[in-house]
Amino acid sequence: MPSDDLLTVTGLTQQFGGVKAVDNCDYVLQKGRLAAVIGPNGAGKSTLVNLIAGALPLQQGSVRLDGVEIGGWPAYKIAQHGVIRTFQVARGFDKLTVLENMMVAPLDQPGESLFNAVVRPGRGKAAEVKQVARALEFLNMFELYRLRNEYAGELSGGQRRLLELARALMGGPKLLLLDEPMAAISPVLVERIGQHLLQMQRLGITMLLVEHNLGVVEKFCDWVTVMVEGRAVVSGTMAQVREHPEVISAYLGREVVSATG
Amino acid sequence: MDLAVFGPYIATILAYFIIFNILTWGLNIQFGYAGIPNFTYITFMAMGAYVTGATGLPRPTAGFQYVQYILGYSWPFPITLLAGAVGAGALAFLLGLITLRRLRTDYLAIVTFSLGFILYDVVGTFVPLFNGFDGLFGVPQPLADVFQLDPNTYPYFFIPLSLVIMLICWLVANRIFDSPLGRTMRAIREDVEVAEALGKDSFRFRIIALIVGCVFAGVAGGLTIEFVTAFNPSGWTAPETFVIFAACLVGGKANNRGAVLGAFLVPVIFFEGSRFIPVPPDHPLLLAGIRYMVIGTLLIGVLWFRPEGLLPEKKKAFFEIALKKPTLPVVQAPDAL
Repeated sequence: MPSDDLLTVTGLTQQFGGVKAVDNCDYVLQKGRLAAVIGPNGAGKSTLVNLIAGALPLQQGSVRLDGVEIGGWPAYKIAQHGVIRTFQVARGFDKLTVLENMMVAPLDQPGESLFNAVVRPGRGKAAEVKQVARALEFLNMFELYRLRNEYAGELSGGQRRLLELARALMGGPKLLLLDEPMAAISPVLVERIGQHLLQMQRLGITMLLVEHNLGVVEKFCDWVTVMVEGRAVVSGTMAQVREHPEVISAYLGREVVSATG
Repeated sequence: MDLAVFGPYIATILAYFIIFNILTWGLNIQFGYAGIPNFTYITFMAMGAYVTGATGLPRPTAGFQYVQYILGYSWPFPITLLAGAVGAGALAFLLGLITLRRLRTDYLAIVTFSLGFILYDVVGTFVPLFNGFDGLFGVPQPLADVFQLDPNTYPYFFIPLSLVIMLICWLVANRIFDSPLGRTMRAIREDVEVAEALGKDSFRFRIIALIVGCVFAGVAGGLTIEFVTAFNPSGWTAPETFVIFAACLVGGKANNRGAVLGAFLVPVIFFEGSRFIPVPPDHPLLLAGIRYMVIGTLLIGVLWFRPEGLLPEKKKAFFEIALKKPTLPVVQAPDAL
Protein backbone atom coordinates (compact mmCIF):
# COMPACT_ATOMS: atom_id res chain seq x y z
CA MET A 1 0.00 0.00 0.00
CA PRO A 2 1.99 3.10 1.05
CA SER A 3 5.37 3.37 -0.59
CA ASP A 4 7.49 6.50 -0.19
CA ASP A 5 8.45 8.39 2.95
CA LEU A 6 6.65 11.61 3.80
CA LEU A 7 8.28 12.43 7.10
CA THR A 8 11.82 11.64 8.13
CA VAL A 9 13.04 12.57 11.59
CA THR A 10 16.69 11.95 12.43
CA GLY A 11 18.72 12.51 15.57
CA LEU A 12 16.06 14.66 17.23
CA THR A 13 17.01 15.72 20.75
CA GLN A 14 15.18 18.05 23.09
CA GLN A 15 16.38 18.90 26.54
CA PHE A 16 14.29 20.61 29.21
CA GLY A 17 16.86 21.60 31.81
CA GLY A 18 18.62 18.35 32.65
CA VAL A 19 15.85 16.12 31.31
CA LYS A 20 16.08 14.77 27.79
CA ALA A 21 12.43 14.59 26.74
CA VAL A 22 13.41 13.41 23.27
CA ASP A 23 16.78 11.72 23.00
CA ASN A 24 18.37 11.14 19.60
CA CYS A 25 15.08 10.00 18.14
CA ASP A 26 14.78 8.64 14.59
CA TYR A 27 11.38 8.24 12.99
CA VAL A 28 10.12 7.60 9.47
CA LEU A 29 6.51 7.90 8.32
CA GLN A 30 5.33 6.72 4.92
CA LYS A 31 2.70 8.50 2.82
CA GLY A 32 -0.87 7.49 3.40
CA ARG A 33 -0.39 5.97 6.83
CA LEU A 34 -2.69 6.40 9.78
CA ALA A 35 0.10 6.02 12.27
CA ALA A 36 0.27 6.19 16.03
CA VAL A 37 2.98 6.91 18.55
CA ILE A 38 2.39 5.18 21.85
CA GLY A 39 4.40 4.92 25.00
CA PRO A 40 4.25 5.49 28.74
CA ASN A 41 3.80 8.96 30.23
CA GLY A 42 6.89 11.08 29.83
CA ALA A 43 8.19 9.08 26.89
CA GLY A 44 8.39 12.25 24.80
CA LYS A 45 5.46 11.65 22.42
CA SER A 46 3.95 15.10 22.71
CA THR A 47 7.38 16.72 22.60
CA LEU A 48 8.03 14.86 19.35
CA VAL A 49 4.82 16.24 17.86
CA ASN A 50 5.63 19.74 19.11
CA LEU A 51 9.07 19.56 17.54
CA ILE A 52 7.75 18.38 14.18
CA ALA A 53 5.11 21.14 14.22
CA GLY A 54 7.64 23.80 15.19
CA ALA A 55 5.88 24.66 18.45
CA LEU A 56 9.23 24.21 20.21
CA PRO A 57 12.50 25.59 18.87
CA LEU A 58 14.60 22.79 17.44
CA GLN A 59 17.71 22.09 19.52
CA GLN A 60 19.29 19.25 17.61
CA GLY A 61 18.41 16.94 14.77
CA SER A 62 16.60 17.12 11.48
CA VAL A 63 12.96 17.00 10.35
CA ARG A 64 12.30 16.50 6.65
CA LEU A 65 8.94 16.59 4.94
CA ASP A 66 8.88 15.33 1.35
CA GLY A 67 12.64 15.82 1.22
CA VAL A 68 12.52 19.42 2.45
CA GLU A 69 14.20 20.24 5.74
CA ILE A 70 11.53 21.92 7.89
CA GLY A 71 13.33 21.56 11.23
CA GLY A 72 13.75 24.92 12.91
CA TRP A 73 11.13 26.72 10.83
CA PRO A 74 8.55 28.82 12.67
CA ALA A 75 5.27 27.01 13.32
CA TYR A 76 3.25 28.99 10.78
CA LYS A 77 5.72 28.22 7.99
CA ILE A 78 5.64 24.53 8.77
CA ALA A 79 1.85 24.70 8.65
CA GLN A 80 1.98 26.50 5.31
CA HIS A 81 4.20 23.68 4.10
CA GLY A 82 1.45 21.19 4.85
CA VAL A 83 1.91 20.02 8.45
CA ILE A 84 -1.17 20.85 10.48
CA ARG A 85 -1.51 19.90 14.12
CA THR A 86 -4.26 19.71 16.69
CA PHE A 87 -3.92 20.13 20.43
CA GLN A 88 -4.36 17.86 23.44
CA VAL A 89 -7.26 19.98 24.61
CA ALA A 90 -9.41 20.88 21.59
CA ARG A 91 -8.86 24.55 20.89
CA GLY A 92 -10.56 26.99 18.58
CA PHE A 93 -11.49 30.58 17.96
CA ASP A 94 -14.29 30.87 20.51
CA LYS A 95 -15.79 34.18 19.39
CA LEU A 96 -15.85 33.21 15.74
CA THR A 97 -18.65 31.11 14.35
CA VAL A 98 -18.07 27.49 13.37
CA LEU A 99 -18.05 28.45 9.69
CA GLU A 100 -15.66 31.34 10.35
CA ASN A 101 -13.37 28.93 12.20
CA MET A 102 -13.30 26.84 9.04
CA MET A 103 -12.72 29.88 6.84
CA VAL A 104 -9.62 30.99 8.73
CA ALA A 105 -7.78 27.85 7.70
CA PRO A 106 -7.30 28.10 3.90
CA LEU A 107 -3.85 29.31 2.89
CA ASP A 108 -3.14 32.15 0.45
CA GLN A 109 -6.44 33.98 0.82
CA PRO A 110 -6.44 37.03 -1.46
CA GLY A 111 -8.71 38.85 0.99
CA GLU A 112 -6.03 38.67 3.68
CA SER A 113 -3.99 41.42 2.03
CA LEU A 114 -4.65 44.89 3.39
CA PHE A 115 -4.81 46.41 -0.09
CA ASN A 116 -7.43 43.92 -1.28
CA ALA A 117 -9.44 44.21 1.93
CA VAL A 118 -9.66 48.00 1.79
CA VAL A 119 -9.44 48.99 -1.87
CA ARG A 120 -10.92 46.07 -3.78
CA PRO A 121 -12.96 43.83 -1.49
CA GLY A 122 -14.39 42.12 -4.57
CA ARG A 123 -11.03 40.52 -5.28
CA GLY A 124 -11.35 38.07 -2.41
CA LYS A 125 -15.02 37.24 -3.02
CA ALA A 126 -14.58 34.53 -5.67
CA ALA A 127 -12.02 32.66 -3.60
CA GLU A 128 -14.24 33.13 -0.58
CA VAL A 129 -17.29 31.61 -2.28
CA LYS A 130 -15.27 28.57 -3.32
CA GLN A 131 -13.91 28.10 0.21
CA VAL A 132 -17.34 28.50 1.83
CA ALA A 133 -18.65 25.69 -0.37
CA ARG A 134 -15.72 23.51 0.69
CA ALA A 135 -16.19 24.44 4.34
CA LEU A 136 -19.87 23.56 4.26
CA GLU A 137 -19.06 20.20 2.69
CA PHE A 138 -16.57 19.39 5.41
CA LEU A 139 -19.00 20.57 8.09
CA ASN A 140 -21.60 18.30 6.58
CA MET A 141 -19.12 15.44 6.63
CA PHE A 142 -18.50 15.99 10.35
CA GLU A 143 -22.19 16.62 11.04
CA LEU A 144 -21.58 20.17 12.18
CA TYR A 145 -23.54 21.75 9.34
CA ARG A 146 -26.49 22.80 11.46
CA LEU A 147 -24.13 24.48 13.93
CA ARG A 148 -22.32 26.54 11.25
CA ASN A 149 -23.50 29.91 12.56
CA GLU A 150 -23.01 29.15 16.25
CA TYR A 151 -20.00 30.48 18.13
CA ALA A 152 -17.28 27.86 18.40
CA GLY A 153 -17.11 28.66 22.11
CA GLU A 154 -20.65 27.33 22.51
CA LEU A 155 -19.87 23.84 21.21
CA SER A 156 -19.59 20.78 23.43
CA GLY A 157 -16.22 19.15 23.98
CA GLY A 158 -16.91 16.47 21.39
CA GLN A 159 -18.13 18.95 18.80
CA ARG A 160 -14.95 20.96 19.33
CA ARG A 161 -12.91 17.88 18.50
CA LEU A 162 -14.84 17.41 15.29
CA LEU A 163 -14.50 21.08 14.39
CA GLU A 164 -10.77 20.87 15.00
CA LEU A 165 -10.50 17.97 12.55
CA ALA A 166 -12.73 19.65 9.97
CA ARG A 167 -10.78 22.89 10.26
CA ALA A 168 -7.48 21.06 9.85
CA LEU A 169 -8.81 19.58 6.59
CA MET A 170 -9.58 23.08 5.29
CA GLY A 171 -5.86 23.84 5.24
CA GLY A 172 -5.24 20.98 2.81
CA PRO A 173 -2.62 19.21 4.93
CA LYS A 174 -0.09 16.66 3.71
CA LEU A 175 0.49 15.52 7.25
CA LEU A 176 -1.90 15.84 10.16
CA LEU A 177 -0.45 15.67 13.67
CA LEU A 178 -3.12 14.72 16.17
CA ASP A 179 -2.17 15.10 19.82
CA GLU A 180 -4.47 12.69 21.67
CA PRO A 181 -7.59 13.21 19.55
CA MET A 182 -9.53 10.72 21.67
CA ALA A 183 -8.70 12.20 25.06
CA ALA A 184 -11.62 12.92 27.38
CA ILE A 185 -14.45 11.98 25.03
CA SER A 186 -17.20 9.39 25.23
CA PRO A 187 -16.71 5.87 23.80
CA VAL A 188 -19.40 6.54 21.17
CA LEU A 189 -17.54 9.58 19.92
CA VAL A 190 -14.22 7.72 20.04
CA GLU A 191 -15.68 5.25 17.56
CA ARG A 192 -17.01 8.06 15.41
CA ILE A 193 -13.77 10.01 15.35
CA GLY A 194 -11.99 6.77 14.47
CA GLN A 195 -14.30 6.36 11.48
CA HIS A 196 -13.57 9.97 10.50
CA LEU A 197 -9.85 9.29 10.65
CA LEU A 198 -10.23 6.27 8.36
CA GLN A 199 -12.30 8.43 6.01
CA MET A 200 -9.60 11.12 6.00
CA GLN A 201 -7.02 8.45 5.28
CA ARG A 202 -9.06 7.47 2.23
CA LEU A 203 -8.92 11.13 1.17
CA GLY A 204 -5.15 10.72 1.01
CA ILE A 205 -4.12 12.44 4.21
CA THR A 206 -1.24 11.03 6.20
CA MET A 207 -1.83 11.16 9.92
CA LEU A 208 0.27 10.76 13.03
CA LEU A 209 -1.54 10.27 16.33
CA VAL A 210 -0.26 10.46 19.84
CA GLU A 211 -2.56 8.12 21.71
CA HIS A 212 -2.88 6.43 25.07
CA ASN A 213 -5.84 4.22 24.28
CA LEU A 214 -4.27 1.05 22.85
CA GLY A 215 -7.63 -0.35 21.83
CA VAL A 216 -8.15 2.65 19.58
CA VAL A 217 -4.68 2.32 18.13
CA GLU A 218 -5.18 -1.37 17.40
CA LYS A 219 -8.53 -0.78 15.76
CA PHE A 220 -7.74 2.20 13.51
CA CYS A 221 -4.01 2.60 13.03
CA ASP A 222 -1.96 0.67 10.48
CA TRP A 223 1.46 1.64 11.81
CA VAL A 224 2.49 1.87 15.43
CA THR A 225 5.66 3.23 16.95
CA VAL A 226 6.56 2.81 20.60
CA MET A 227 8.51 5.55 22.31
CA VAL A 228 10.38 4.86 25.51
CA GLU A 229 12.56 7.41 27.30
CA GLY A 230 12.67 9.80 24.36
CA ARG A 231 13.48 7.24 21.70
CA ALA A 232 11.41 5.39 19.13
CA VAL A 233 12.25 1.80 20.04
CA VAL A 234 10.12 -0.21 17.70
CA SER A 235 7.71 0.28 14.80
CA GLY A 236 5.32 -2.03 13.01
CA THR A 237 1.72 -3.16 13.12
CA MET A 238 0.14 -3.40 16.54
CA ALA A 239 0.42 -7.19 16.46
CA GLN A 240 4.15 -7.02 15.71
CA VAL A 241 4.80 -4.30 18.26
CA ARG A 242 2.92 -6.13 20.98
CA GLU A 243 5.31 -9.07 20.88
CA HIS A 244 8.39 -6.91 21.32
CA PRO A 245 10.01 -7.39 24.76
CA GLU A 246 10.92 -3.71 25.17
CA VAL A 247 7.28 -2.79 24.73
CA ILE A 248 6.09 -5.26 27.28
CA SER A 249 8.67 -4.09 29.77
CA ALA A 250 7.87 -0.45 29.13
CA TYR A 251 4.17 -1.00 29.72
CA LEU A 252 4.17 -3.74 32.33
CA GLY A 253 7.49 -3.37 34.10
CA ARG A 254 10.66 -5.43 33.92
CA GLU A 255 9.65 -8.02 36.55
CA VAL A 256 6.85 -9.29 34.38
CA VAL A 257 9.21 -9.73 31.48
CA SER A 258 11.72 -11.64 33.51
CA ALA A 259 8.96 -13.73 35.09
CA THR A 260 7.37 -14.63 31.76
CA GLY A 261 10.55 -14.65 29.72
CA MET B 1 -29.96 80.13 24.34
CA ASP B 2 -27.97 82.43 22.19
CA LEU B 3 -26.75 80.73 19.05
CA ALA B 4 -23.83 83.12 18.77
CA VAL B 5 -22.56 81.84 22.12
CA PHE B 6 -23.58 78.20 22.01
CA GLY B 7 -23.10 77.63 18.29
CA PRO B 8 -19.29 77.57 18.41
CA TYR B 9 -19.39 75.52 21.64
CA ILE B 10 -21.65 72.87 20.09
CA ALA B 11 -19.56 72.94 16.92
CA THR B 12 -16.40 72.39 18.94
CA ILE B 13 -17.92 69.44 20.76
CA LEU B 14 -19.05 68.03 17.45
CA ALA B 15 -15.53 68.36 16.07
CA TYR B 16 -14.15 66.51 19.09
CA PHE B 17 -16.80 63.83 18.70
CA ILE B 18 -15.68 63.28 15.09
CA ILE B 19 -12.04 63.11 16.17
CA PHE B 20 -12.88 60.70 18.99
CA ASN B 21 -14.77 58.46 16.58
CA ILE B 22 -11.67 58.10 14.43
CA LEU B 23 -9.54 57.48 17.53
CA THR B 24 -11.89 54.83 18.88
CA TRP B 25 -12.11 52.99 15.55
CA GLY B 26 -8.33 52.93 15.31
CA LEU B 27 -8.03 51.45 18.78
CA ASN B 28 -10.83 49.06 17.90
CA ILE B 29 -8.79 47.71 14.97
CA GLN B 30 -5.82 47.10 17.27
CA PHE B 31 -7.53 45.99 20.44
CA GLY B 32 -10.98 44.90 19.30
CA TYR B 33 -10.02 43.04 16.12
CA ALA B 34 -6.46 41.88 16.77
CA GLY B 35 -6.33 41.94 20.58
CA ILE B 36 -3.23 44.11 20.86
CA PRO B 37 -3.34 46.07 24.14
CA ASN B 38 -1.55 49.21 22.96
CA PHE B 39 -1.49 51.24 26.17
CA THR B 40 0.34 54.08 24.53
CA TYR B 41 -2.18 54.61 21.76
CA ILE B 42 -2.38 58.34 22.52
CA THR B 43 1.32 58.69 21.65
CA PHE B 44 0.46 57.95 18.03
CA MET B 45 -2.21 60.61 18.06
CA ALA B 46 0.48 62.99 19.33
CA MET B 47 2.86 61.84 16.61
CA GLY B 48 0.21 62.61 14.00
CA ALA B 49 -0.46 65.99 15.56
CA TYR B 50 3.20 66.98 15.77
CA VAL B 51 4.08 65.89 12.25
CA THR B 52 0.96 67.54 10.81
CA GLY B 53 1.68 70.73 12.72
CA ALA B 54 5.41 70.85 12.05
CA THR B 55 5.05 70.18 8.32
CA GLY B 56 2.37 72.87 8.04
CA LEU B 57 4.29 75.54 9.96
CA PRO B 58 6.98 77.64 8.27
CA ARG B 59 10.61 77.29 9.32
CA PRO B 60 11.02 78.59 12.86
CA THR B 61 12.72 81.97 13.14
CA ALA B 62 14.58 83.27 16.15
CA GLY B 63 12.85 86.43 17.18
CA PHE B 64 10.07 87.75 19.37
CA GLN B 65 8.82 84.25 20.25
CA TYR B 66 11.65 81.81 20.10
CA VAL B 67 10.31 78.41 19.22
CA GLN B 68 12.15 75.37 17.95
CA TYR B 69 10.90 72.45 15.95
CA ILE B 70 12.03 70.16 13.16
CA LEU B 71 10.52 70.03 9.65
CA GLY B 72 8.76 73.39 9.05
CA TYR B 73 7.90 72.92 5.41
CA SER B 74 4.82 75.17 5.10
CA TRP B 75 3.06 72.34 3.30
CA PRO B 76 -0.62 72.84 2.37
CA PHE B 77 -3.49 71.06 4.11
CA PRO B 78 -4.13 67.56 2.82
CA ILE B 79 -0.42 66.84 2.56
CA THR B 80 0.24 67.79 6.18
CA LEU B 81 -2.46 65.44 7.39
CA LEU B 82 -1.09 62.63 5.24
CA ALA B 83 2.38 63.30 6.62
CA GLY B 84 0.97 63.03 10.14
CA ALA B 85 -0.67 59.71 9.27
CA VAL B 86 2.55 58.39 7.75
CA GLY B 87 4.54 59.56 10.79
CA ALA B 88 2.21 57.73 13.17
CA GLY B 89 2.28 54.64 10.98
CA ALA B 90 6.08 54.65 10.85
CA LEU B 91 6.31 54.90 14.63
CA ALA B 92 3.82 52.04 14.90
CA PHE B 93 6.00 49.95 12.59
CA LEU B 94 8.98 50.51 14.89
CA LEU B 95 6.92 49.66 17.98
CA GLY B 96 5.69 46.52 16.25
CA LEU B 97 9.19 45.42 15.35
CA ILE B 98 10.25 45.75 18.97
CA THR B 99 7.22 44.24 20.66
CA LEU B 100 5.18 41.98 18.40
CA ARG B 101 7.74 39.32 17.56
CA ARG B 102 8.31 37.87 20.97
CA LEU B 103 6.01 39.34 23.58
CA ARG B 104 2.75 37.85 24.79
CA THR B 105 -0.23 40.07 25.45
CA ASP B 106 0.38 40.99 29.07
CA TYR B 107 4.03 41.87 28.53
CA LEU B 108 3.10 43.74 25.39
CA ALA B 109 0.81 45.95 27.48
CA ILE B 110 3.61 46.75 29.93
CA VAL B 111 6.14 47.50 27.20
CA THR B 112 3.79 49.80 25.27
CA PHE B 113 2.95 51.59 28.51
CA SER B 114 6.61 52.22 29.34
CA LEU B 115 7.50 53.24 25.78
CA GLY B 116 4.75 55.83 25.99
CA PHE B 117 6.33 57.37 29.08
CA ILE B 118 9.77 57.38 27.47
CA LEU B 119 8.51 59.13 24.35
CA TYR B 120 6.54 61.59 26.47
CA ASP B 121 9.68 62.59 28.38
CA VAL B 122 11.78 62.77 25.23
CA VAL B 123 9.34 65.04 23.42
CA GLY B 124 8.76 67.14 26.54
CA THR B 125 12.40 67.73 27.43
CA PHE B 126 14.18 67.63 24.09
CA VAL B 127 13.14 71.11 22.99
CA PRO B 128 14.61 71.18 19.43
CA LEU B 129 12.23 68.38 18.41
CA PHE B 130 8.75 69.84 18.93
CA ASN B 131 9.41 72.78 21.25
CA GLY B 132 9.31 70.71 24.46
CA PHE B 133 6.54 71.21 26.97
CA ASP B 134 5.47 74.47 25.31
CA GLY B 135 4.53 72.55 22.18
CA LEU B 136 3.58 73.84 18.77
CA PHE B 137 1.19 76.73 18.21
CA GLY B 138 -0.01 78.96 15.44
CA VAL B 139 -0.57 75.98 13.15
CA PRO B 140 -2.48 77.14 10.06
CA GLN B 141 -6.05 75.87 9.89
CA PRO B 142 -6.83 73.86 6.76
CA LEU B 143 -7.90 76.10 3.86
CA ALA B 144 -8.74 78.96 6.23
CA ASP B 145 -6.64 81.33 4.13
CA VAL B 146 -8.09 80.04 0.87
CA PHE B 147 -11.70 80.71 1.89
CA GLN B 148 -10.79 83.61 4.20
CA LEU B 149 -12.51 82.15 7.25
CA ASP B 150 -12.24 83.80 10.66
CA PRO B 151 -11.85 81.78 13.88
CA ASN B 152 -15.54 82.19 14.78
CA THR B 153 -16.96 80.71 11.63
CA TYR B 154 -14.12 78.22 11.10
CA PRO B 155 -15.77 75.34 13.01
CA TYR B 156 -18.67 75.37 10.54
CA PHE B 157 -16.19 74.72 7.75
CA PHE B 158 -14.08 72.28 9.71
CA ILE B 159 -16.94 69.95 10.63
CA PRO B 160 -17.98 68.92 7.10
CA LEU B 161 -14.31 68.58 6.18
CA SER B 162 -13.52 66.27 9.09
CA LEU B 163 -16.80 64.44 8.51
CA VAL B 164 -15.57 63.40 5.06
CA ILE B 165 -12.33 62.13 6.58
CA MET B 166 -14.32 60.34 9.27
CA LEU B 167 -16.44 58.58 6.65
CA ILE B 168 -13.31 57.37 4.86
CA CYS B 169 -12.04 55.97 8.17
CA TRP B 170 -15.41 54.31 8.81
CA LEU B 171 -15.24 52.66 5.40
CA VAL B 172 -11.69 51.41 5.95
CA ALA B 173 -12.43 50.09 9.45
CA ASN B 174 -15.53 48.21 8.32
CA ARG B 175 -14.00 46.82 5.16
CA ILE B 176 -11.17 45.37 7.22
CA PHE B 177 -13.65 43.87 9.67
CA ASP B 178 -15.70 42.29 6.89
CA SER B 179 -12.70 40.90 5.01
CA PRO B 180 -10.73 37.68 5.49
CA LEU B 181 -8.01 39.98 6.87
CA GLY B 182 -10.26 41.04 9.74
CA ARG B 183 -11.37 37.46 10.30
CA THR B 184 -7.79 36.26 10.64
CA MET B 185 -7.03 39.16 13.01
CA ARG B 186 -9.93 38.09 15.21
CA ALA B 187 -8.76 34.47 15.04
CA ILE B 188 -5.31 35.55 16.24
CA ARG B 189 -6.97 37.52 19.03
CA GLU B 190 -8.81 34.35 20.12
CA ASP B 191 -5.85 31.95 20.02
CA VAL B 192 -2.46 32.81 18.52
CA GLU B 193 -1.08 29.28 18.68
CA VAL B 194 -4.01 27.73 16.85
CA ALA B 195 -3.82 30.43 14.19
CA GLU B 196 -0.11 29.76 13.73
CA ALA B 197 -0.77 26.04 13.56
CA LEU B 198 -3.04 26.84 10.60
CA GLY B 199 -0.24 28.70 8.82
CA LYS B 200 -1.07 32.27 9.82
CA ASP B 201 1.93 34.53 10.36
CA SER B 202 0.65 36.28 13.47
CA PHE B 203 3.39 38.92 13.31
CA ARG B 204 2.26 40.05 9.87
CA PHE B 205 -1.41 40.35 10.83
CA ARG B 206 -0.71 42.03 14.15
CA ILE B 207 1.65 44.60 12.70
CA ILE B 208 -0.92 45.45 10.01
CA ALA B 209 -3.53 45.99 12.74
CA LEU B 210 -1.08 48.05 14.78
CA ILE B 211 -0.07 50.26 11.86
CA VAL B 212 -3.58 50.82 10.50
CA GLY B 213 -4.88 51.63 14.00
CA CYS B 214 -2.03 54.06 14.62
CA VAL B 215 -2.59 55.71 11.24
CA PHE B 216 -6.16 56.37 12.42
CA ALA B 217 -4.72 57.89 15.60
CA GLY B 218 -2.34 59.98 13.48
CA VAL B 219 -5.20 61.31 11.37
CA ALA B 220 -7.17 62.13 14.51
CA GLY B 221 -4.13 63.91 15.96
CA GLY B 222 -3.60 65.84 12.74
CA LEU B 223 -7.21 66.98 12.74
CA THR B 224 -6.87 68.01 16.39
CA ILE B 225 -3.86 70.25 15.85
CA GLU B 226 -5.36 71.78 12.75
CA PHE B 227 -8.59 72.53 14.55
CA VAL B 228 -7.17 73.99 17.76
CA THR B 229 -3.98 75.27 16.03
CA ALA B 230 -1.81 74.24 18.98
CA PHE B 231 -0.61 71.05 20.63
CA ASN B 232 1.69 70.25 23.55
CA PRO B 233 2.40 67.27 25.84
CA SER B 234 -0.50 68.12 28.16
CA GLY B 235 -2.73 66.91 25.32
CA TRP B 236 -1.40 63.37 25.39
CA THR B 237 -0.85 62.29 28.95
CA ALA B 238 -1.28 58.60 29.74
CA PRO B 239 -4.87 58.96 31.09
CA GLU B 240 -6.01 60.07 27.63
CA THR B 241 -5.38 56.53 26.38
CA PHE B 242 -7.58 55.35 29.23
CA VAL B 243 -10.46 57.54 27.97
CA ILE B 244 -10.24 55.96 24.50
CA PHE B 245 -10.01 52.45 25.94
CA ALA B 246 -13.06 53.27 28.05
CA ALA B 247 -14.93 54.46 24.94
CA CYS B 248 -13.96 51.25 23.13
CA LEU B 249 -14.97 48.94 26.00
CA VAL B 250 -18.18 50.77 26.91
CA GLY B 251 -19.35 50.87 23.31
CA GLY B 252 -18.38 47.30 22.53
CA LYS B 253 -15.11 45.75 21.43
CA ALA B 254 -14.81 44.92 17.73
CA ASN B 255 -18.04 46.76 16.90
CA ASN B 256 -17.57 50.06 15.10
CA ARG B 257 -21.12 51.23 15.80
CA GLY B 258 -20.43 50.51 19.44
CA ALA B 259 -17.29 52.61 19.12
CA VAL B 260 -19.42 55.54 17.96
CA LEU B 261 -21.70 55.08 20.96
CA GLY B 262 -18.66 54.81 23.23
CA ALA B 263 -17.06 57.90 21.73
CA PHE B 264 -20.32 59.74 22.30
CA LEU B 265 -20.87 58.51 25.86
CA VAL B 266 -17.38 58.65 27.31
CA PRO B 267 -15.58 61.72 25.94
CA VAL B 268 -18.66 63.76 25.02
CA ILE B 269 -21.40 63.11 27.57
CA PHE B 270 -19.33 62.07 30.58
CA PHE B 271 -16.21 64.12 29.95
CA GLU B 272 -17.84 67.29 28.63
CA GLY B 273 -20.99 66.79 30.68
CA SER B 274 -19.02 66.77 33.90
CA ARG B 275 -18.10 70.38 33.05
CA PHE B 276 -21.58 71.32 34.26
CA ILE B 277 -21.20 69.70 37.66
CA PRO B 278 -21.14 72.56 40.19
CA VAL B 279 -17.67 72.67 41.69
CA PRO B 280 -16.64 75.10 44.44
CA PRO B 281 -14.51 77.79 42.80
CA ASP B 282 -11.70 77.37 45.33
CA HIS B 283 -11.12 73.75 44.22
CA PRO B 284 -10.11 74.09 40.56
CA LEU B 285 -8.59 70.61 40.34
CA LEU B 286 -11.70 68.87 41.64
CA LEU B 287 -13.34 68.78 38.22
CA ALA B 288 -10.53 66.79 36.59
CA GLY B 289 -10.68 64.29 39.45
CA ILE B 290 -14.44 63.96 39.20
CA ARG B 291 -14.19 63.32 35.45
CA TYR B 292 -11.96 60.30 35.82
CA MET B 293 -14.03 59.02 38.72
CA VAL B 294 -17.18 59.28 36.63
CA ILE B 295 -15.61 57.54 33.65
CA GLY B 296 -14.10 54.87 35.90
CA THR B 297 -17.49 54.22 37.48
CA LEU B 298 -19.13 54.01 34.06
CA LEU B 299 -16.48 51.56 32.90
CA ILE B 300 -16.86 49.35 35.97
CA GLY B 301 -20.63 49.45 35.59
CA VAL B 302 -20.54 48.42 31.95
CA LEU B 303 -17.95 45.70 32.51
CA TRP B 304 -19.99 44.38 35.41
CA PHE B 305 -23.43 44.36 33.83
CA ARG B 306 -22.56 44.17 30.12
CA PRO B 307 -19.02 42.79 29.84
CA GLU B 308 -19.30 42.69 26.05
CA GLY B 309 -20.08 46.41 25.91
CA LEU B 310 -23.33 48.16 25.10
CA LEU B 311 -23.20 46.98 21.46
CA PRO B 312 -21.33 43.64 21.49
CA GLU B 313 -19.31 42.25 18.62
CA LYS B 314 -21.68 41.16 15.87
CA LYS B 315 -21.91 37.49 15.06
CA LYS B 316 -21.05 37.07 11.43
CA ALA B 317 -23.58 34.75 9.90
CA PHE B 318 -22.25 33.94 6.47
CA PHE B 319 -24.03 34.53 3.24
CA GLU B 320 -25.68 31.20 2.64
CA ILE B 321 -24.57 28.98 -0.14
CA ALA B 322 -26.89 26.10 -0.85
CA LEU B 323 -25.15 22.88 0.00
CA LYS B 324 -24.95 21.07 -3.30
CA LYS B 325 -24.67 17.32 -3.49
CA PRO B 326 -21.85 16.53 -1.06
CA THR B 327 -18.93 15.10 -2.98
CA LEU B 328 -17.50 13.66 0.21
CA PRO B 329 -19.24 10.75 1.86
CA VAL B 330 -21.11 11.47 5.06
CA VAL B 331 -20.25 9.16 7.91
CA GLN B 332 -23.30 7.50 9.34
CA ALA B 333 -22.98 7.56 13.07
CA PRO B 334 -25.29 8.17 16.01
CA ASP B 335 -25.90 11.86 16.55
CA ALA B 336 -25.30 11.63 20.27
CA LEU B 337 -22.53 13.91 21.43
